[in-house]
Amino acid sequence: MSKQQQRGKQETASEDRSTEWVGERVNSYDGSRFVSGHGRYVDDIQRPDMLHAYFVRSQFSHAKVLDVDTSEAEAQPGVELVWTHDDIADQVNEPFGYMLNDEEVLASDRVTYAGQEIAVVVADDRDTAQDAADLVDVEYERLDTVTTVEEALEDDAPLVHPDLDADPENDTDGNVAWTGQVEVGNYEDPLADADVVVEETFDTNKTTPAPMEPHGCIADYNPATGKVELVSSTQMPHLLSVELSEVLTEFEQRDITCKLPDVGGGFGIKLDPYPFEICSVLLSKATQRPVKHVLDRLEEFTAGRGRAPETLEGKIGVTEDGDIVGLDVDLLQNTGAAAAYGVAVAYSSANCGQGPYLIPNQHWRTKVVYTNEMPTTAVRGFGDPQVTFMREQLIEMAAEEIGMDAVELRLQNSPRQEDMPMRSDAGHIWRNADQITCLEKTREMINWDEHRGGSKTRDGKLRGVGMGTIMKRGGNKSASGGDFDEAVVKMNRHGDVTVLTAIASIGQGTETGINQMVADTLGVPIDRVDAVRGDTDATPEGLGVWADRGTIIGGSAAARAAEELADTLKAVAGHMLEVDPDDLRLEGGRAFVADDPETGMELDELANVAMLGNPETLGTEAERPEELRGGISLVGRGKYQSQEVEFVDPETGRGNVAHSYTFGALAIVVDVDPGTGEIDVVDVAICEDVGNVINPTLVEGQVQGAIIQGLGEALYEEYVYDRNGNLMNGSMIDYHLPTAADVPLVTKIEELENPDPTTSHGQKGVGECPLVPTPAALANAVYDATGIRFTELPLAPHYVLPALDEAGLREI
Amino acid sequence: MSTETKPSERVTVETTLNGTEVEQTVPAGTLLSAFLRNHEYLTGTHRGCETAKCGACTVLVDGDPVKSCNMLAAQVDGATVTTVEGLADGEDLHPVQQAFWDCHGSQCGYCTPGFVTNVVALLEDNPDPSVEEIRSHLTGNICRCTGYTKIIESVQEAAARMDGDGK
Amino acid sequence: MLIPVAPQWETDVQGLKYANPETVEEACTLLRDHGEDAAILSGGQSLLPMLRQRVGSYDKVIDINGLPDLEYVRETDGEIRIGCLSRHVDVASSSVVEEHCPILADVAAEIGDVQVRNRGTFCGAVAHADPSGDPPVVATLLDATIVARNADEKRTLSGSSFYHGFYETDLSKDELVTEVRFPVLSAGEGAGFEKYEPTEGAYPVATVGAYLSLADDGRIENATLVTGALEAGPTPMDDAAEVLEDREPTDDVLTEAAEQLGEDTMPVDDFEGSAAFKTNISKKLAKDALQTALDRAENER
Repeated sequence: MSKQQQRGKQETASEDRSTEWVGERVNSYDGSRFVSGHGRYVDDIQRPDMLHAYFVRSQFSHAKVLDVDTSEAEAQPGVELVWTHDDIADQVNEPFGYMLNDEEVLASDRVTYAGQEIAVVVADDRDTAQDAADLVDVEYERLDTVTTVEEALEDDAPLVHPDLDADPENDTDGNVAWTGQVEVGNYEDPLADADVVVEETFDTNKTTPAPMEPHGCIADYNPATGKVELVSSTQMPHLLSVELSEVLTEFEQRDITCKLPDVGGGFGIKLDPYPFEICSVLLSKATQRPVKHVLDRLEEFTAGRGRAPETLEGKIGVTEDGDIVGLDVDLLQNTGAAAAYGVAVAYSSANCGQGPYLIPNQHWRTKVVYTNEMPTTAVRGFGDPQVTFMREQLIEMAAEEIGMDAVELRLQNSPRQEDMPMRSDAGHIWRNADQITCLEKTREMINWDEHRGGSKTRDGKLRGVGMGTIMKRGGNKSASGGDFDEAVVKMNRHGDVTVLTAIASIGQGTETGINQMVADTLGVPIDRVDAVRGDTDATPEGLGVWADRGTIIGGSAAARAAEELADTLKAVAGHMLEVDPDDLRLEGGRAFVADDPETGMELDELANVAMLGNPETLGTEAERPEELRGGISLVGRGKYQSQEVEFVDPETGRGNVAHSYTFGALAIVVDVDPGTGEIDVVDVAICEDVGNVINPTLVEGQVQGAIIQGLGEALYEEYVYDRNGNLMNGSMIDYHLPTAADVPLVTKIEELENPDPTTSHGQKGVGECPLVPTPAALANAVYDATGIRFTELPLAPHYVLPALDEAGLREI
Repeated sequence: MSTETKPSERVTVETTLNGTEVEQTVPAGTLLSAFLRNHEYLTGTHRGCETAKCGACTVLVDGDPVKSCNMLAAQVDGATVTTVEGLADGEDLHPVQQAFWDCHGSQCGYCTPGFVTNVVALLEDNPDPSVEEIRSHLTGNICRCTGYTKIIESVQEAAARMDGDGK
Repeated sequence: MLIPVAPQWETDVQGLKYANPETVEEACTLLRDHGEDAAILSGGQSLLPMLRQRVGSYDKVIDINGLPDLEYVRETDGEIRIGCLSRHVDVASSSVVEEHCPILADVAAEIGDVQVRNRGTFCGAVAHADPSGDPPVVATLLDATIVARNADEKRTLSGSSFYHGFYETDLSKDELVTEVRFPVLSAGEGAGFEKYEPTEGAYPVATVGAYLSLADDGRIENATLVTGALEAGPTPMDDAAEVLEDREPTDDVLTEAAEQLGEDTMPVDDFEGSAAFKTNISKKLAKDALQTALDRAENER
């Protein structure tokens, strides 16, 4: 399909409906509650007679658990139960895990990271539970610890999971949890055609996205029905009930109602089914009382999961003329003590590791490796930030090597919009994206030519500019078996609209965009649309928010549901007004003839007539058109099932791993202080092709937030473990998150709107993308400023200053 | 206002909370944040970090922003406390709240009450702050969603709407 | 700041006992009777975290915020006197401080964040002796006079010898610091303070305070350098200061002293950076602090 055809299709689709709301800066749906303190996060919810749970966590990163003495804790006034692994063993399928079965709910006889759950106390209040947890006496026998991939891969390394055959279909041993590969073109010798090969090894950092609200839930079991209601701070209410039912032997999916409270951020780490959720369900069943379990920040740091550090040994091959011919990469992921989403992170990011380039020959070899550290999992970017940190630095190194400008090299190797749709080298289906303009606009906004080459500022700082690029997945089905969402849009007799959707709201604003689309389709004011999200008893099936899928998949489903309701409304109005329903338009709270706006009726009157369905107003059923007989339902149903996304081929690693891809480029200007090693990000510019923008304000908010989250990870943040696997900086005091005074304003944002022809409004994924190129662009800018290639994250002063010193650049 | 001249395990706290006189006798070790959330059911004041860092629990004590997880409830005896719930005038949002909503200075909303209360205090003292003044005033509040740009724009917008009024 | 490995923070401080005396005498009596396991609560910005982690052996707090007439920052008899209930924000915004000892404002204005500065007291920080605290550095640097009371007597302590490492001072458990006095810096004197914090408002990893006095001929008469956060408490760097004495305050001389300070400081490796990094950054901080001190000394002449 040519570009023009795609656009034509898009315009036809949008002609039928109002465009009053989509594309506008509508205020966020939840915002008025949040600014006034009337949000309801899980810890804000009280239930009568509620108990509170608290974990006993491992003090050691690797040990045998010889004995757990709970007697003193159990004797405390107010303590209801203290459970160890034995107490739940027959109620759970263990080991469990998202992709590999490598987790226990409570440790049975071994602990594999400091912070792992060993026992759970439930008591009348949280302080009592916490104090009692201190009284649980755990007898350990210390085992040797591995904290790095290098150690873990040594022949005589202590084994994190000696008894585990976590992935029987995968030929792995030792501490290797999973291996995979991507083979493209002449993968056996991918650099054969290169005139110049540049190679380097990169090490990324372990981080947490640190959503402001910790994980937490309330489980409320009903003994009469045998069902449990779980209010949990999650990104995937429906999938959570699926996953929990697989762990809990006595609960089917239908027995677990997951409901969303307000969720104070997620960023990926609220996807896994966690021990706190599993234990709460079982404790509520045992006590027949509601059980609340909210983690504290220190537990978040030690057990809340985060981004996997990766070692990437990369080689890129280019011709003298600047064609990228090959990429050869060994990717080692330190996944921690459990793989969680780590396997998907590894193969998705390797599959997409070529980025927004044409690279005909590639060979990626990936290993997911266990260590005695906190498990890692999905985090915004899902492996792409790590891979991009390597690729974009290799590209700027190669450009320098052949004496070519780094943006020109990128332009030369980028796919052209006019060639789309197309299959990329690794099998992605690329549709209607203008990467060339993204690169050119970014170069222009950041004043690339002025800064490039490095300079010294008047106050003695070293200034430089660097770039990174985006080719980020939107939607995915490796987690869920398919990529789909259903939606219901219903109207009451007053014409008020409610959207029922399985997406979750974690701050990104998906529900606001959905409401805008629905409001336009039905022609109602935005304040007449409400959203019910993530209540597995009420909302139709769907998968939640991750992989930038909410607006593209969930939004397209809701748009279809609204279309069905709109058709019904038009049919009723056409019958009432004695006009052809196809001539009607819904807009401004009215249904009217498009060519004769005076002929119409108010939507609330229409809703009332349709809801009551009386023969006095509509005539007998025999007098009505076919579709208005047998009950007029003001419920619209819609489903969107991606027909594009593929399971990647396990042999070659190729395939269209996502529904769609968002392209873009980001550039950063830095000032490096030669006295302190501090890096001041003085300018950021980004241009992305996000398809049609549903809400510019919310898109900007996602872009700004993602960039700053990426800068925090690139400049300050890192998990620091000692040799024994103890986390040294597990608090917000010692793990340095950026404040408003540490990071720049991000205002140079350009969004290209080349629509994706497969989604309801041409929308593409947005939320994760801008984080992806940020660490890479930063490192490239620092190289431009200093001539020092930083291959490890973060670029904190305590790493930068010694390097400046070594290079003779340090000043006082 | 009561005085304890002997160390006491329970304290009576009399305070003007969001304009209403309240009196509660609570364990002496009750943090102000817990007093507000668990005893007064004002759950807009959030706990984010446990270590007096993140500022999600910021409230105004006698008009000054403080972290309520880092004070005892006993310390507000005789004082005026304003939480995020006390800023709106009925259903009319405080201009700072309205600006945070209009400018999208709030995404997941968890940090928002702390920012809003802190900014109300800032604009009382400095009705027309510069970007640099705003940034340095807000270092005691962490936001993970917005990247701060729209928070800073919210403050500027609120300042413009309040037009030096400070109210 | 020290957070123990595998810490527990309570949501409330269980079993805590609280007293809020109305007079200094009452407070001192309480300290006499309970001082062994009682902590003084003034700003509480360091105390509350310690109580919540059960660091230290306190189960009682004596809240001194109700004591009368102890909230002031004023100049008396050539000294700036700061009452024990004055907050960091009061010191940072004091015109007396701005005029006579601006380093105190530099320090106070950059402690923690706005919320912390609204509650935390300057004297409390001097007495608390957090190894990474900023007020102890300046109290040492300028040889502040620390006024302490117990039930029986009032005494004054010298800031330059007040600290003995990790949270250790000359104070007894029954004593209350009621006031800290700093010298008014006169013509030819100047002081500067610099710190490195990983992010804004984080606990500093390295701090340096510098004091200089200039002779009539422009040479450096006296110099003092003190580091903070690098070792177990404020640490005078006498050899580096000696480099400066009786020298022309040229850029090279300041650099020489800064390099010496770096050579002499003995930080440890930790997650905030290697000892070598901290050494290097302390040199930069020393140079900048000396430059500020010099500029102020020269401007005051």
